[in-house]
Amino acid sequence: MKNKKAEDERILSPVFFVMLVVIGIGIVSGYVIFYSDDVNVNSDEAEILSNRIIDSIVSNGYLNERVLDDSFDIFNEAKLNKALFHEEGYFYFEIVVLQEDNVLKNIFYGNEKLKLESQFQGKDFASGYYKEFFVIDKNNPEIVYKIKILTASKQIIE
Amino acid sequence: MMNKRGEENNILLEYVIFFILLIIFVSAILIFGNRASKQTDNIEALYAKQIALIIDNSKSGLKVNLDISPLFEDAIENNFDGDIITINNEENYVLVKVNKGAGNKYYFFSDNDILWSIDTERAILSIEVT
Repeated sequence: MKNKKAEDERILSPVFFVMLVVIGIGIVSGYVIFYSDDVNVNSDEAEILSNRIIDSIVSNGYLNERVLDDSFDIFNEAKLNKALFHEEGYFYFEIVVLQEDNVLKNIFYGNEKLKLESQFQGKDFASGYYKEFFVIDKNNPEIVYKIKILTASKQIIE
Repeated sequence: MMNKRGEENNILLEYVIFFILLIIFVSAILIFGNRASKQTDNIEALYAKQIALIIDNSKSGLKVNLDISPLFEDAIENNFDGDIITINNEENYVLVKVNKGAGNKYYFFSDNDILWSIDTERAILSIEVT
């Protein structure tokens, strides 16, 4: 009994080491959680991508005449690097040109999984940006086109 | 009497070890905290993203001067004398490094050619989109 009491009063008891470990883990976890907070700019990227695309297909409210051509190259028109828009990439975009609900043109490139992901909220999902608007035909103002643009980004720092 | 003195010595030794361990523990926590608070990784990532966004959001002809003095300060503190910023026009990425690690890389989707230079005296990054 006396021995047990003496043991309990020891400073370097196993309890002391356990306490050090627990306190240490607590402090380190706190630092890691606090400082690992990342600045996510994916939604800004998606919006910038969308604006670049709009600038290349619309001019002063008119549809760029070349958009409906088969030879239309969005990468050249919007000055985008095609190599980054692949199936496993960080980016995705889709452009739909409609006239009275008829799809005249549908252009999409990049990682298609991001299209679905961008519909969900949360830091683990891609950020999306959707825009829908009307433009008119330059040669015939009576023709109105509806444009739908969806862009998404899920870039992580490497 | 002898036993009591021996016991006292043991207790004293135990106290000494206790305080040494405590000092080591507190020092380790302070050093870790100091390193973590410098946020080297975060500052690299922040600048890599900022520069990539500037490039993506720019049109031909735009010239931008960006103050990168915080990166220089960190690089000096880490004794790093390599390239702090690299903008790769071939693979479209910005790489920011303030220490000997791998650095932080962020891609830009703009296909514009980027002319860039660093004024080391004023710690200014100049970007020109062509």
